[in-house]
Amino acid sequence: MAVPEITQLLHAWRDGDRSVENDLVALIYPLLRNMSVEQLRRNRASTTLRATELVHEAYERLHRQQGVDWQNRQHFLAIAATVIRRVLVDHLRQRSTTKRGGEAVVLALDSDLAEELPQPAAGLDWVALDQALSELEKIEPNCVKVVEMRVFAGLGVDQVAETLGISTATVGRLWRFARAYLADHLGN
Amino acid sequence: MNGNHQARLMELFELAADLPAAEQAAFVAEHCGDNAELASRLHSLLAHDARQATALDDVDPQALTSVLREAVPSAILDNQVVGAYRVERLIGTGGMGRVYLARHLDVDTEHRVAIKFVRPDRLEPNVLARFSREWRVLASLQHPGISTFVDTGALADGTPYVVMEYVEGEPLFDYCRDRNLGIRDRLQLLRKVVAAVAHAHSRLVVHRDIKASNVLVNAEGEVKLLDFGIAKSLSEVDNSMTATSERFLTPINAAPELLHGEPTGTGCDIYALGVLAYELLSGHPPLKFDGLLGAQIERLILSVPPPPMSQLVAGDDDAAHERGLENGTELARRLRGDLDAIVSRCLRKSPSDRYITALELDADIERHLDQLPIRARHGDRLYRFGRLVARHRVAVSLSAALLVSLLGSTIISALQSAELARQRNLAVTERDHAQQVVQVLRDAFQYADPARAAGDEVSARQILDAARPRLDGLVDSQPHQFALLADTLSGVELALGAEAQAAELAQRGLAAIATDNHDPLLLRRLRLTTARALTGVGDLEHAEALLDEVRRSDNALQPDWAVARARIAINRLPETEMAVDLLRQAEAMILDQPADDELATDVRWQLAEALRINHRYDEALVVLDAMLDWQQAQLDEDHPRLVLTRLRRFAVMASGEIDEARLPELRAVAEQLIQYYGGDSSMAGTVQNIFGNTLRAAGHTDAAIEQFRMAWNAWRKSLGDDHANTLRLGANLATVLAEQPDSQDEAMSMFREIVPHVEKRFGAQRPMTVYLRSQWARLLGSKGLWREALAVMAQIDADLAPADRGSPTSRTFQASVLSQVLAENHCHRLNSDEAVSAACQNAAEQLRRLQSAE
Repeated sequence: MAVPEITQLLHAWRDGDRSVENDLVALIYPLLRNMSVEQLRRNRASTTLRATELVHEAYERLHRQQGVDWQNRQHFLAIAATVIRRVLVDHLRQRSTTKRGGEAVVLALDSDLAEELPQPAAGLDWVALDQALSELEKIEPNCVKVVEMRVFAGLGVDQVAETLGISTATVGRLWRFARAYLADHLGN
Repeated sequence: MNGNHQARLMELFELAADLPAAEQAAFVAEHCGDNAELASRLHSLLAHDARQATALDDVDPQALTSVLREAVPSAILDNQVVGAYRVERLIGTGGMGRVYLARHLDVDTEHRVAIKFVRPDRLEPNVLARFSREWRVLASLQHPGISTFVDTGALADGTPYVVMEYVEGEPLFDYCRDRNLGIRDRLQLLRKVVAAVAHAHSRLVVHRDIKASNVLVNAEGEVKLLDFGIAKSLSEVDNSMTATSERFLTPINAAPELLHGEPTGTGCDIYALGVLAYELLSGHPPLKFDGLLGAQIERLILSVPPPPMSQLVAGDDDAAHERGLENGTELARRLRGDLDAIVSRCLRKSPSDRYITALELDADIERHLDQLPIRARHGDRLYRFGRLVARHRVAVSLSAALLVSLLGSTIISALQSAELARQRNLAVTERDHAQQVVQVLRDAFQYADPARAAGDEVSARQILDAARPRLDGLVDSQPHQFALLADTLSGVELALGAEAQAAELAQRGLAAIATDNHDPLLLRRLRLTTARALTGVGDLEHAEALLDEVRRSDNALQPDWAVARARIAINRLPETEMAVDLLRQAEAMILDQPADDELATDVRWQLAEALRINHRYDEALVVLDAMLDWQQAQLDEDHPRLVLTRLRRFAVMASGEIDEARLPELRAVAEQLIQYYGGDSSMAGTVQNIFGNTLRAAGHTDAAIEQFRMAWNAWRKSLGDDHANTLRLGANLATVLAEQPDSQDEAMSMFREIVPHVEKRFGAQRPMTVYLRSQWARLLGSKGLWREALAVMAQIDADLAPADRGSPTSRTFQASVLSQVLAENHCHRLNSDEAVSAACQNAAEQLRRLQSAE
């Protein structure tokens, strides 16, 4: 991995240049993916693969082993949350396309009701959430960051506030809007 | 909505959100002015804000975890710490799992162990159950010839493991060959193996997998018998071990009774010792399976006696040299007589004709070595006579006698509990007898036609309808009788796929005995039937509530409850893994059921389905393959259940990652099935539908269309244009045609032709109808015929009951079509025409209702 490149991008990102975010994500994605594999291998006993642990550990590793100069681990956490969102959604998207081709569903013969239609969003529809987040991004990117860090990296409100350099009250405000907005978009 | 509006939306939301609810409407009206869209969005956001639970609040960390786990490939065990040990490396792979060498974490000790992990795809509940109940027994085996059991446990993901003494040594046959050991030395080694087995038998442990590779010889020439991994405690008189549920038994050493699924005892170890001895002495296996198929192997094991060793080796000089003899003739002479007799006595087809104990076998080998007359040959005449008498002896009594002879009084409690269990089963049988008569009838309906070809077309429908009035007459006069029949007949309705009717009837049955609870068994059965029917119509909540009641009164998990609950879980995304767990547990309870048992069949089909839903296709195939073995051994080749299992198997093969390389194989299987059932048969159509779906998922739309077209034609020819499945296939064809720009015109005319039939056949409110109409509306919309599209959607709205806009899935789908049509056609801007404006407003209103419906 091109460590200087990461450092450089991260500095740019910290200084407010959001255009580097995609590049950062692209660089960190493989790292996190490998790490999650390793985490499973090392810790197969635990069926949990906790996003929070993964993110923190990824930071430790970059910091300790690769000497990435990150003034502040929080910057990494913010990016990593985005990465986890991508890992998940990419996987689910691939899974759903391999499963049923296009959007339309082919009816199974003698099908039970549930087989006739696309799976209901009984749990959260991550792919739909992803799309809704992309829409939300156009309104207020920080709303998306808050959601990503809380949902995908499992960070608490305090950590989110610290990471984004905003007050917890603001985090609450952003969360409240995101919550209503996403519920509206996800149609529930 | 443009960016400015969006930013304004957030601003206004934050201002309005803190206002009291009563003032919000006024605020929206004041600030949005004539911007109706902004006002509507803001309203919607505020409504969501006020709700307790939204999508985001419901995020289940467990769900995230499971997807994340799925998103990364599964791991290996190297360097993992297991219990007090660190895994070093893989040292072997067996039928049931992998064996790793591991070292004690305490670096000062040189303690090395072998840890055996059961393969995930072997992770069946019976394996787990056996592991957990056996470790005590295994721990009691302390013998120099048996590798010591150290510990057992399970990883947190459920993978069970056993820690055993690590044995360094050479496999038995290698050891003998490398040293050119003669027959006498080989017999001495064999006696050590036999002694170890005798020790285990005295502890009520049967090895069940004795084979050469499980016998190691160390540098001191001592043998160690490994791998009591599938050893089974004799103290559980148990006839559940069938060849199919235990497919990982090595066939060469599998005794005939294992294939029958008869109770297994020490006899199968004696048989396996015979197999071992045969090859150890002669250099040949007793039966040759090379190139044979399962059924032929089975026939060999069951009915073909192995030739005497001396016949086989007569020309085999190599085998003779390895045993320090001049030539085959000399080896044949050495084996003829006593040794042939001893080994063949071990290999008798019936356990009662073999040595009863390992000690007897050992005694005969010893006599032979001491040149005394052996018992096996004296027994020959008795054996021939005994065979006649004992051919049909009930195997259970044999096991019981065997136990008594082994251990005397200590096993009496086990026998008593077995007897109690038998009596309990008898009582249940009595009670269920009346029910079984009707069951036969139900089966006749259900399986008269495996592909549901005639389905609800057959006169069964008429029979049922005719039965209704008479049935209704019973409600008041004989509520109990009514409930009994309601249960049975709703079972028939279910078999015909008429879930709604089944649900209605079963619920009436429940109501009839609501106040009269003198028959708890009937109440339980009715609840289960009702729950299944409700699951079928998508009313999962009520189904679950009924099952909760059943579960509360059941003392323990029952397989019929488990399969009913799993049906619900299969239909609920967050619960699909739970479905697998439940069905695995249920499966462990129905292992000994014959292949014509409905529940046992259902449990396994559902298990395969649950695995499929969870994308665990390999495991689903393992289940279905085992099912095929199980059914083929007991049912006619063209038995409907076998056919259905094959079909399900094909469906699983066609699921999952569509690897281009797998398509030819799938095509071959499809063609085989189609050839078997005939090209114009409904079965062919069913297979083509599945294959078409696969092709479509793999991106071969044209090929998929071809399959769907053939499927549709097959069903039309065999069952007519109006059959439910013909219509489903027509719907599939139209849907796929609609996806290809150059075939959309054809799709359009198909929809026009089919939709009225579907409406008539299924009724306007059925999800199938709603779905197809929505698809049609989408196509209309994308062709610019958006007014017609909105009319179709409006018709859906009008036909559905005001309180019911369809299932959540259906609502989501309707909403997506509506918003797509609205968005594509900029409906809101075309408001000069009043009629158009009204249609748009109605559509927007419909969309809002769909989105806000709970």
